[in-house]
Amino acid sequence: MKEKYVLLGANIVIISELFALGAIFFGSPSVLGVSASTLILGLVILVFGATFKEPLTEALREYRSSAEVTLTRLAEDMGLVPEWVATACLVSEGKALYVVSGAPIDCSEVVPGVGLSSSGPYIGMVVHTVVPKAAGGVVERLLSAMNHLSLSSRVIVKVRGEEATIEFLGVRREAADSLRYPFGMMRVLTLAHAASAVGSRVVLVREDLTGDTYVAVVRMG
Amino acid sequence: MRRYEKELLALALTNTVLNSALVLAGVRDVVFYVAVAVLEYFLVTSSGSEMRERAEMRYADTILAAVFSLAIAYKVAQVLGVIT
Repeated sequence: MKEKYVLLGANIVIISELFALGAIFFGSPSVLGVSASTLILGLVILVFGATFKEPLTEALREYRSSAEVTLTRLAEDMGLVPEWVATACLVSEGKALYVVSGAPIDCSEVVPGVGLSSSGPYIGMVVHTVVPKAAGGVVERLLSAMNHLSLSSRVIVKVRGEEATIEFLGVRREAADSLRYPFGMMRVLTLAHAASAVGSRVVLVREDLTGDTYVAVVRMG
Repeated sequence: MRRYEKELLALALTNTVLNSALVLAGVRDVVFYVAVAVLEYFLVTSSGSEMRERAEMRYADTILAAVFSLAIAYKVAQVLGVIT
């Protein structure tokens, strides 16, 4: 419930009813019409306020933070921290697998969860991706995918051969904080969406966070 | 300003504009005002509305759809001469 809208809606309903009564009393159909129309507006605002659901922002933030810490602890226990490789494999359209391993991995060898490939142990996390359709080449598709994430105020994408440099300017504080962990929200989403956008495996080559600018260099394929 | 706030503002502004236009056009039929207000609500909140995501607007939908149906039924009955 959102009290201010309930109050606003109820006030509009009461006032328009009073106007409607006055219009009936004085015989003014136009005023009665406007009152009835305003009554509908008040009713809509009242229903909106009474049935309003607060978003789960705070709960999701807490949950995300706990999940990042837990996965990092798991990665530590598996000996994947501090030296680890982040890879995003394309599972299907709209689904990618973010993998943290000790050495570069082959996407055909990994499944979601904790596993052991020929390159060593890994942790795989399925990420559902939403990549808006964009006309043009790899740059446009990557740009469209990164902009859709809204993790920063501006995104610059440069592609050179098999390497793509994704530069996030004005990164949101919480997104930047998440980069402390191998399963940090920003890194996971960036790589998973990049894999979906280019339609192939994406490996994080290097990254840098300076102030509110995050640069991720990824190798495609 | 959040998207649902913009939608509420759009709803209030279009309601004001349409009511003013109807008054200026000299419309004296209450049913017309009601029908236009209901249509305006459905138009503003038709596609990708955050208002619908955030609140249970189906209650308002049901009530307003019923009001609109009654208004139309009343007009049809008037045209057919069932009601004067």
